[in-house]
Amino acid sequence: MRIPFQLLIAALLAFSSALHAQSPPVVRVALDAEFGNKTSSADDAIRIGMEIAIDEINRAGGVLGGRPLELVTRDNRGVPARGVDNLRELAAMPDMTALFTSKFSPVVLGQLDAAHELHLPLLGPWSAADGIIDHERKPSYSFRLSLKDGWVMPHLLNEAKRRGFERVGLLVPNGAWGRSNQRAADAHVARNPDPVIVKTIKYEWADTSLANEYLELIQAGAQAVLVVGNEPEVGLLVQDMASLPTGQWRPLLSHWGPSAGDLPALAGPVLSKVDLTVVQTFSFIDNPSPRARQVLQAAMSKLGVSEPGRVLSAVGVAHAYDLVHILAMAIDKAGSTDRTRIRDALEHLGAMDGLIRKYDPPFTVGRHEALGPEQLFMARWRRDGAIVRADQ
Amino acid sequence: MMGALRRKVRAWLDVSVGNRFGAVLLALTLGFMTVAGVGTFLYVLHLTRRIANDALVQDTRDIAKDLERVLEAICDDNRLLAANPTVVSAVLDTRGQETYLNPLLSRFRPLGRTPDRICVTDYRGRSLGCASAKDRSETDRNRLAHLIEEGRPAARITLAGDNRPILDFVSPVIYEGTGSAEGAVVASYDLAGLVHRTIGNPERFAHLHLSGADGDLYRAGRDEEHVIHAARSLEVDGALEALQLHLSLGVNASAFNQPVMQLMAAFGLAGLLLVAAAVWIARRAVPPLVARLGDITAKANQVADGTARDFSANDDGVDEIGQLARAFETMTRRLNEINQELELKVELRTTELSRQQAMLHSILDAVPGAILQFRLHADGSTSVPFVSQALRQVYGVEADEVVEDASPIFTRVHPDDIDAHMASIHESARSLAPWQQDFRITRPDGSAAWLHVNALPQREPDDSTLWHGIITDITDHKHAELALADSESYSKTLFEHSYIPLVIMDPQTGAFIDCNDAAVAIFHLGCRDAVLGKNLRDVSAPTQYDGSDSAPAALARIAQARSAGFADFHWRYQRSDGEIWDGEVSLMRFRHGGRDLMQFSLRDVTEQRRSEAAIWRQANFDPLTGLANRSLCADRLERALARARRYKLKVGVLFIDLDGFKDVNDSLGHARGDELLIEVARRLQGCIREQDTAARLGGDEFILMVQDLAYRGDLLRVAEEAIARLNQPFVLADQTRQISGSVGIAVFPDDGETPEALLAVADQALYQAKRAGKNCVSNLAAERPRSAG
Repeated sequence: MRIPFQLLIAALLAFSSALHAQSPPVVRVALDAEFGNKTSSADDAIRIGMEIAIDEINRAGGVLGGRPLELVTRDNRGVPARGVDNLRELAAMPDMTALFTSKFSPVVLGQLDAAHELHLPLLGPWSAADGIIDHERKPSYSFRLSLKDGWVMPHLLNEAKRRGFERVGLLVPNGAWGRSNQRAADAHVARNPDPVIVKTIKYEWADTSLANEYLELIQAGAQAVLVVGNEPEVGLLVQDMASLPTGQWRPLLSHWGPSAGDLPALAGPVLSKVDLTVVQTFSFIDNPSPRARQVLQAAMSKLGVSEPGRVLSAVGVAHAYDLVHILAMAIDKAGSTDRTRIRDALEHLGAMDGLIRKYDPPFTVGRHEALGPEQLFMARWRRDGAIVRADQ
Repeated sequence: MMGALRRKVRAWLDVSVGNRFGAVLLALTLGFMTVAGVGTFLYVLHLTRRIANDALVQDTRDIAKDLERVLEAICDDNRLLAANPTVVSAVLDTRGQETYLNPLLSRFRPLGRTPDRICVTDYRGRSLGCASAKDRSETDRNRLAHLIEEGRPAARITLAGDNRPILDFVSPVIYEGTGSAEGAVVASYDLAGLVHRTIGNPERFAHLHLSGADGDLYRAGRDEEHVIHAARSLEVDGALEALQLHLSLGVNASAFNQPVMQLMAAFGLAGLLLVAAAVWIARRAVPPLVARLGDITAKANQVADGTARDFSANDDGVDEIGQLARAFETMTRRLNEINQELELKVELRTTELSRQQAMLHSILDAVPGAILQFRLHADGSTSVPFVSQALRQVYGVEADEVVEDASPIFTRVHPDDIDAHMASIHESARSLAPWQQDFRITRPDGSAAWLHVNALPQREPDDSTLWHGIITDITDHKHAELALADSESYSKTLFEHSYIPLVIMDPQTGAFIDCNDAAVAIFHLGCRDAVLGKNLRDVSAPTQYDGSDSAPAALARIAQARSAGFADFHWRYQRSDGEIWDGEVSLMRFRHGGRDLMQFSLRDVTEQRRSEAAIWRQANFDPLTGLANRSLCADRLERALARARRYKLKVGVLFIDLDGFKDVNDSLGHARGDELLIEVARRLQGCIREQDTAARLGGDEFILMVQDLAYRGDLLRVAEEAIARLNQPFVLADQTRQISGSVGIAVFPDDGETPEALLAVADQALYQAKRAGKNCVSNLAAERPRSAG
């Protein structure tokens, strides 16, 4: 079906460009995300964030002197092989400027080779593995406006220390993302004796129960458990822990994976009973910034929800929104859809007022991370499902 | 040379098989061996072929099953591996899967079969991590991508570079996050290797062939002539079914045949050797045996035809023949013993039998009568098969004269009786009723004899009739019978014709059961039947002479006759017309036919009695007045006195004399005087009772005797009564006269104890009365005569 599909797309594009013969040709930006994933809401959040920014840019006249930005999406289902195939397909499209990546770090890591081969800038609004940015390829085509495992692990460990836990357990998934976090944690622990990671356990993505792994950690003496996982895994962990006697419950300090989906729906009512804090970079909730409110409104209307808390994976919206504006700046600076020029332009942008913060500048030659560790804070799920700062 | 050989062989055969026994045995043995040998050989051949075929079929099935098992195990394990969470993680992972995949894939060894290559692939079949037994180039990835997309386990055959068939097991890896197949585990096996390994030692098969849906997959060996085949389709389901694997194996049959041939040859040889040995043994052993048997036979024959009495064995052999000989000897001895015993028993039996027979004959002969069997043949002839000696006495005929023909005895039968005699025989034969008859014969001495035959017939199978019975001489008895009959008829005549009325009566009932004509006449009953059944009561007057009822009187008379044996009496009869007549009855008890009967004879004595009565009357009564006369009075007085003495009673005598009678008699005449006297008698009778007596002594003297008198005074009253009556006037014709009477009384025992004394006293009292003036009663004892006044 793929071949006919490609033909169809090509036909459509040709048709639409024929229709808009007078209108200037579009400039494409792609999003390859896990749309096929049943529980992930990060893919939609990123897409919405991108759409809101693209709408703004196009309303303001588009890029390259009036050319509208157009979003092309592909579904990689969270599978690296698909991500690579999608990338190749997208990269072949005319006037494709960049590929926004999905939440799954393995997919992005898998796309690196092809991206560099095809000179397609990878802009990551979510996936956190260190290796996405920390690689030796030069010039590097991967850019990130998100958090990275290398900040998250130390932050969580410090948080544990702050809260008085001397011994913690670490739960990581088998895979590239798990490996990345494990490395980061080990690196921090090597320099900081407190807290002690009593045990690190790798679980499989397809595991249907994490109870044994959890029990193993607390039997090893963990006073708290640091967990790396997405919404299905953390939801499972919460449920598994809640099914144990409360004497065996421990505070859970989680990477931001669960915020990529509707954790309250997956974990169930026990979520409000357990001590789960999650790392975040940005929150729309009770954010006085007018821009934040504006973007939130636009997101709520796009999603058709009336509660801010129902904008799931809101950080994805914010990251994607800022990242699109940065890309638009780079395209204009590059003056064409030539991807190598755009890549170079990204590294040489001026300061920019973004939704999340002021970027000064977003990226440099030596720094492809737009955010910093200071962006991180601990959050928790409110009863109504909204993620709010933990100290609120 | 041939002739000499032939002779030798013949000689040898003669010795060995000179008799029929040996020849037959030899022929049978050889024949049997040939048939058995050929048959066994052919059958064994067929059997081995069938066994080989069955074994091959079995083998093929077993191998096919093993293959199925292996393939299914690989398929199942492959599927399980694809569901392994680690494999899922690998599909979701990038770079570095090999580290944790390799150990997992290396352990993939279902039923010990290591695949040539096992990979985890992405959704397009591109390998993410592999464990490889040998280097292999990538397979057809396009088809793989299709299989993975379908999401179901599959199996396919591909060809390796050197055209070896490779069996790929493809199991999609399902990622729960999306619910779609995002990769696969592909295990590849060298098919030939799989098959060989499963078969174990494939060299034993001459031919091995595996085919699939698309044609031949593997072929080994050559399809030769002597190969037997067996084939089987692999029964697998699921992913493997589409392969349609078909296994065919072949085996060289000649491998089985050779051993059989060798075996048969060996058996054949062994058989021939055995036959030769048997013949040699027979040749040595048979003749002596035959000789011994012949000896036994000859000796037994001697015993049988009587030339020898005993059997002497003379055989010491311990074998069966020796035992046989000795057994014959023992048997013969025993038989002789038994024979002697039997002869002894027979002698004893015969003696006993003769004794019993003699006894029987003596009994038969002693019986008074001839006991016999008499036969009437169907043709009418007769015979006496058996008869006792008595026949001689009875008929004067000897027993053996009539054994064949009974005619001699029939000639003796009285000519008058012969017809009835023969008729009774035939009747008895016809009805099979007992033959009983009396008949006369003429004895040899000419005398007549009466015989009685009593015999029971039975029908014989040959339609003759056989009687068993006895003929007795009843001559004397018959004569007696006849005499009796005579006397009986004499008596009968006497009874019938006697002029004396005779009646036979049943004393129990008083009924008349027989009578003669005279009795009929005397009863005036017309016929005998009218008499029979009548009772004594029926012909008697209601009362008898003494006034008693006839019925009880009759019973009394009958009782009297019963006890005394007879009773003679007079009886008052009444005829049907009411006429009373007197009979003189002589009643007699007698016994006849076991019954007690009575016979009485009758004589009509009415007239006699009447005349006797008249005479007596005349002798005892006054003819004029009818009163008792002097003698009767005296008699009565006697009796009254006797009675009074007995019962301590009195008797009164009234002497009455009429006063003035003479005048009347003189004045009116004797006729009137008689009338007066009659009237006086009447009046005087009215004064006394029945038991008393009124008598006329004569003239005008009367007596009244009163018996059973209690008081003297009563007598006086009687006297006064008499006087008073006498004082009443008498009407004589047309004259009335008056007289009176004078009475003199005497009372026994007061005035006397004898009739004469009493009469004398009474007479004297009368005289006194007369002197006192008449018309009064005088009592001697009294001082004054009393008048009637």
